[in-house]
Amino acid sequence: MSRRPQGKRTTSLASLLLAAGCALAAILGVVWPRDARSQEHNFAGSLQANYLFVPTEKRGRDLSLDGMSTELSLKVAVDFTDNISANVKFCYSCHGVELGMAFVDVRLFDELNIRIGRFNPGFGDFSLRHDPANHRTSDKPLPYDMGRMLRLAEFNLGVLPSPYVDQGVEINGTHWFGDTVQLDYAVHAVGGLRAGPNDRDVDFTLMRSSYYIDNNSEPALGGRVSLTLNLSEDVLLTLGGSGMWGHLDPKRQNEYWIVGTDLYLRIASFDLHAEYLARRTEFDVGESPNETFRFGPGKDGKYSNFFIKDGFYVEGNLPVSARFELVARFDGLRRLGNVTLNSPLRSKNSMVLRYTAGFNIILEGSVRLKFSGEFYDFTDFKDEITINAGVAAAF
Amino acid sequence: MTTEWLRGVGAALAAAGVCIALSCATTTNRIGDSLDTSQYPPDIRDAYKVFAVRCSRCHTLARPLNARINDPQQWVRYVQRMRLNPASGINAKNGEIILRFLLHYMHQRQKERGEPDTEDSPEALPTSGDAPLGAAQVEVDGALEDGSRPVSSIGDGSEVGMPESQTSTTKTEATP
Repeated sequence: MSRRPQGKRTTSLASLLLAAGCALAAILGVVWPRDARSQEHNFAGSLQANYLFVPTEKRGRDLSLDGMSTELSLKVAVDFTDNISANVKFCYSCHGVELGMAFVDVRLFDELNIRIGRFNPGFGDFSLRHDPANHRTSDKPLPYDMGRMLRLAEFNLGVLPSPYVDQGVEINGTHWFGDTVQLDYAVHAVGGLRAGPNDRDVDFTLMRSSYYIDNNSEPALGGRVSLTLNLSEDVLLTLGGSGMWGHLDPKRQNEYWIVGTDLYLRIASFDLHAEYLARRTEFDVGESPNETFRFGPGKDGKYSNFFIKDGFYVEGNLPVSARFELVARFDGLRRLGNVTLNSPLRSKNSMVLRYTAGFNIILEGSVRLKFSGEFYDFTDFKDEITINAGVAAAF
Repeated sequence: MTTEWLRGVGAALAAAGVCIALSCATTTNRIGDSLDTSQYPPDIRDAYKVFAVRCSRCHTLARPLNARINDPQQWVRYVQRMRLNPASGINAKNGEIILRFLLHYMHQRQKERGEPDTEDSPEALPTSGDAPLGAAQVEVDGALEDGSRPVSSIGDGSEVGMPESQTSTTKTEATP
């Protein structure tokens, strides 16, 4: 395990950033009062109801959250002034009602925007369209899965389950070089992923519900840079890279980092998304690792104190007509590293590949009926098939 | 097992009913997620194509097409906000074109519903005199051939129609 003597310095820096952001917001609120007439309220929402059927299992619940699920989100955005707004979003899904967003947004100019509160830190391409009404399949790509994949307990969800929501501050901005090149950046200091003192992976339940506050008094740091090219009126290309670093546990002994790269290509109405994410997660091997882990120590005689989880997806969306569109996706998830004796994973290299084919029927008002079939190819378990049928709408 | 299945199907049907009910307020020229623009003027048809390609990058077209926004000023701010979203791919020129389409569409919907057209009440719009500093302004200085209000330029702040980039509205994600 790695102890970080500079932990305090990082904390101080992030605290300073947060304090500076709050002070800036307060000052702007005082010196830039606006006519009440400029205040606007925007209401938006989405709803998806989906049925996940696992025909290859008698009891699909053993492998996933099968059956019916409903996802609802309601969002209100208020522009207090031309430069300051507040956004609040409530979501309802498998684990009840959650606060998906509650932040103040201060825009000084295009290249400098500050978000303070609870929000989705900029990471990857999928976070831009994580809402079920905005992506074409009922479920999410494996690296971002939050509970609809098979063997979710064995793999402990994806690399970074989406939507990733956290508290803190983010500074971001965009700059156009002419009409062709758009450069975006975002840096954030947020609570970060969490785990208990003796956990050997992230405990995603600590990210929600009862306590939204951080568990170790040290923010996690991260950022994103993306370059978008307007190649023509019909062709758009985005390349992006993201990173995140922090400590999981209350004592700040086990660190994690996540890196990701993404590509988006738009040609007329055809969309292609591709992303790769990898997370390195440290854990405490304990006093007697030989009684804890399935596999022995390495050549150096030591038990490895980390594992790597990585994943990818490539997804194409092709509208065939105004009412019919095709979806194809190939994604995968892998866990590299030692496992505990009681883990259902049977190797140091457990992997799943998933092949998805689907189609959507679009009714009036953009109500989408989503149908897809998935084939899961596991290394440590028998292969499975799932069928998703759902309805989604944005309003 | 059968009861569980029936319960699931029932819930799905109920959800579908809610979704379809929510969609009932759409205009008659909507086809699925898109819009039949065959009756629109050529320039608006071209503007729609830009709108369809750029705005569906992060969200379905339902989001703006279903939005009940009747204030041109609000659309001006909205487009500016979306333009500044990460990887939006919407440059100043495209923003102007998208805004042109959205305002035309807004007027069309108002006519279909028999609602008062905001272009008939210019006092509803902020003018340069009473609008907050740096706020978006939509100038009422003539009409397009289809009767809609002209949409002016966007982006560099030197033209009327969109706020100066430095005083733009806040950035939000495209999702609800």
